Amino acid sequence: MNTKTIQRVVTIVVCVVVMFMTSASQAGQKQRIRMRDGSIWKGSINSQVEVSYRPRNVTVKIVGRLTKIEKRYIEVVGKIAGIQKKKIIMRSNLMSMKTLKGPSDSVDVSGSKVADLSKPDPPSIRSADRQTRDTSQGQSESNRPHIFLLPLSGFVGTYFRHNEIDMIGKEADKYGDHQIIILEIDSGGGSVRETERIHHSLVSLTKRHRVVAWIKHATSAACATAMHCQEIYFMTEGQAGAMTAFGGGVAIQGAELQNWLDTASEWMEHGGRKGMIARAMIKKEFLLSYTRNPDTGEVTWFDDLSGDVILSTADQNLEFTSSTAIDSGFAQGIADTTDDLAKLLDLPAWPEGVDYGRNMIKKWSKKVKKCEEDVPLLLQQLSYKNQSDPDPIVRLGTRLGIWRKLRGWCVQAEPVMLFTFSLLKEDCDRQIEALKRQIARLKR
Amino acid sequence: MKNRVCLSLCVILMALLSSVITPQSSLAVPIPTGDTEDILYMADGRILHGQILSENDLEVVFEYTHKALGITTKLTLQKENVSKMDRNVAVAVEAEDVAEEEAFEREPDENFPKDQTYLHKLKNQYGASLAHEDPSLPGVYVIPMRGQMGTDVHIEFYKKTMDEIRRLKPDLLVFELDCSDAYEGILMIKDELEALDEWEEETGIMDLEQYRDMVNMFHDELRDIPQVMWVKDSVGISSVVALAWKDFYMHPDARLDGIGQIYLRVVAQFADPQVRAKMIAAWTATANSFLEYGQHPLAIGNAMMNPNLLLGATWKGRDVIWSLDGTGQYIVDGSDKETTSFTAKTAEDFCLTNGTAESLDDLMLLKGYREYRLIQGSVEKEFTRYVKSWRQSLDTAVNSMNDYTKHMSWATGEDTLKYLGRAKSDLKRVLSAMKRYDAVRVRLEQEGLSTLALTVLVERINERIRALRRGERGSGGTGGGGNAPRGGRGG
Repeated sequence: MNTKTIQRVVTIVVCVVVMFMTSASQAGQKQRIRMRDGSIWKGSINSQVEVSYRPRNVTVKIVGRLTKIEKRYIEVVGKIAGIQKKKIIMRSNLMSMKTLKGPSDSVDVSGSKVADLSKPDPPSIRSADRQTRDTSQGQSESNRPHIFLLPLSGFVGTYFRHNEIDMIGKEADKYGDHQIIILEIDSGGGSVRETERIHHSLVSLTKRHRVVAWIKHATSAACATAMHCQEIYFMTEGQAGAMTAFGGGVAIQGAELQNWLDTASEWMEHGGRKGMIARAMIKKEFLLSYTRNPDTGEVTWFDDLSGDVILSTADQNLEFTSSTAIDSGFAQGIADTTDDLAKLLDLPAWPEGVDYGRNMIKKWSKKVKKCEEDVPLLLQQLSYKNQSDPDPIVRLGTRLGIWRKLRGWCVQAEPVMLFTFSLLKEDCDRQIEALKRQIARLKR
Repeated sequence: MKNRVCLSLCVILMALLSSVITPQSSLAVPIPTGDTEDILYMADGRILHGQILSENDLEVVFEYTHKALGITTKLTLQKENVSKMDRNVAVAVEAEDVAEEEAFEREPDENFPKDQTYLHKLKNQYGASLAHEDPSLPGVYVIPMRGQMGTDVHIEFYKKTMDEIRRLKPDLLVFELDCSDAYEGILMIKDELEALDEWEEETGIMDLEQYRDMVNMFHDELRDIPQVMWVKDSVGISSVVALAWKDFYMHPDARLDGIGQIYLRVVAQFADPQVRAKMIAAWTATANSFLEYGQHPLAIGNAMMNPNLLLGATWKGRDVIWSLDGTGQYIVDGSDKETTSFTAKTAEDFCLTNGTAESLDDLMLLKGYREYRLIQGSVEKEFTRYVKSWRQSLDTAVNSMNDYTKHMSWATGEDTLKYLGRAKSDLKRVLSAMKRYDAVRVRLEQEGLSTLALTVLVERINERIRALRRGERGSGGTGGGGNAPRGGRGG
């Protein structure tokens, strides 16, 4: 062994010893981590911590064991969507940290031992429907959140309603709080009145569950729905924005406009985003731009055109597409399929058979479509069907039958009759009573 | 080793000499000679003609004959480099093989069809080689998108191709788009009034929702198959569809233009400035969502739609930075009155496309394939059949509507019942065509004929027929009140 070889061996040994000593001291020593607001967390590696962080304007909490502290990030092993995982959190996104237990005992808040990550992942999350049938599951599996997908498409107020949101919420409640509800949105907007109802439903729902918007198309009232969600994901072709309220081709003005601007800003903030984004979606004079810090990824918004990226000028309202939504932090990611979405939601896989929401919507949409086909024909038939019959009782009887059918639709699909045909059950009742009286007179 | 170098030099020298002194020969059909040869298809794309002298598990000793030069040499080839071996193939003297060597010296033959001229053949020498049979070559499946957007190019047709594509497992999908709303093309062959009518009828349908579903279908359901958009021409709404693919090529004569109609229609439709601003934002975002799929800069979409915007380009390395205010190293569109459009050249210059391809062979070469296999599915045949069939149905429907008008005008006097019956049949034929082909429905709805309106017309005719029959019964049988109780009471 020559001198050079001996020198190399010594160097390696020294390095190994230094590294060992450093890591040992890191594990034992108190560490300091600065939060975004300037406050400092002091604690040790392997402590049980509750971390609150804010990637792209959404505040997320995780409870777990702090396993690594690096210059740019920390690593926490904890439960994400019910699955024990390693989570890398950028230090620039840290909002707050709280030590729950010291490093001596690595027990998580739910009381079970922290999982060994070298072991394979537990079985994938099963759908709500399948879990309903299978009541003999183990405790760990039942602790995981269930997935509820609700496709919301078409006109807001007829196809796309608060009723289905409430129903899926009730279904999710059967499994306790903190279930995952995904609103798959594909709509060009609709009624403001219905949007207010949806707001109340979503405020209540987001208190109980993790509600996620998955956007294909969310313009106007559909965007007002999506922005309630803390987490928004886009499909590649997704778009969201343009919330100007109007009637008869003319935009609302004055106090009504001011009210909508304030309300929409409040709803936008409910979802953890800046109110000025909503205003730029409503009135073209509200400008919007942003600057993104290339190192931290932090986005600063401006209600003028001084930011690096201009989103809304005086000629055009704001409508995000997928790239602008992601870059500005309005949305958290792009998912074109349920498998893509599962990855973004930190799920091991997309559970099969998440059909409760789909079936519910399918049933309702079928009814709306039939109503939209039948009613215009019925309204036309009032003017000609059997109206050439010489018998007035036949003529009146036919009209009576048609009004009864229309009343039936008012009962079965009230919002469609109201929004699309401006027809209420009471209108039909009046017509029916009048026709009955006429027929009775003729028979006398 | 020295011998091999000498042989190679001799071959090159003779090739050079022969290219100069070989007399011109005309193109000719293959001439069978009665002899046989072996053909080796090499993995690197070469096709070698000659005789297999011997072979073992690893090697083939092959006597190779260069047809043009008439030189024969012995080659030892590794079997792993041979894709396919055809043995004892009848020898046909291909005059073309010789002609290809001489093409530089030739003038195009005016009597020969344009696509078969020597010039064309010369150009094709730069493309990849097409082979139909060799399964080892990458398989290419070409999906036609031709004609009118929203009718000829319709999602219902493409849905039916999905099973075949899955079954044939192509290595590459090529979307061949040729859709033009250009008025000038029609004007050249028709008088102005007729041309204007046809232009209005044949302009692409602005059904972005349908096109978005179509693009989604290809991108999401066939995401494991590489896809290429090859535009032969695109003027109109088809341009947003073209921009939905990242791997994008254009024909040298192709245009990419015509999506300004989205902006203009919105401006024309909404007078209130706030509502207009909302609708412009919504519609341009919908169109730009296609560019998101193609990962093209949204500035291009905005400049192609909004005539008020300028478009400037600045190169930063190989990337192009776009600006909409007319700044930049190069002004692509300096007009605030017209939308931006691209030719094949400008699209390539500004890195919007990956290249310009005159033929499928060119396209394949640009994609890096020296040889490829064209998968002969039924899509081209089915597409032609579909277009022919729905257009025939539309003609039938239009004729039926004319017949309906005629029959209704004849429905008087004694023949009333007869012609009302015929008019009802005419309408039912129209309804049936609309039900069978969505394209027919779309075209007739553009003319203001909805299924609801037609159904109402049919029911109204039924009413008239019933009333007439009641009248006939009433007048013909005064004593037969039992057959017409209601009519009897009314009378």
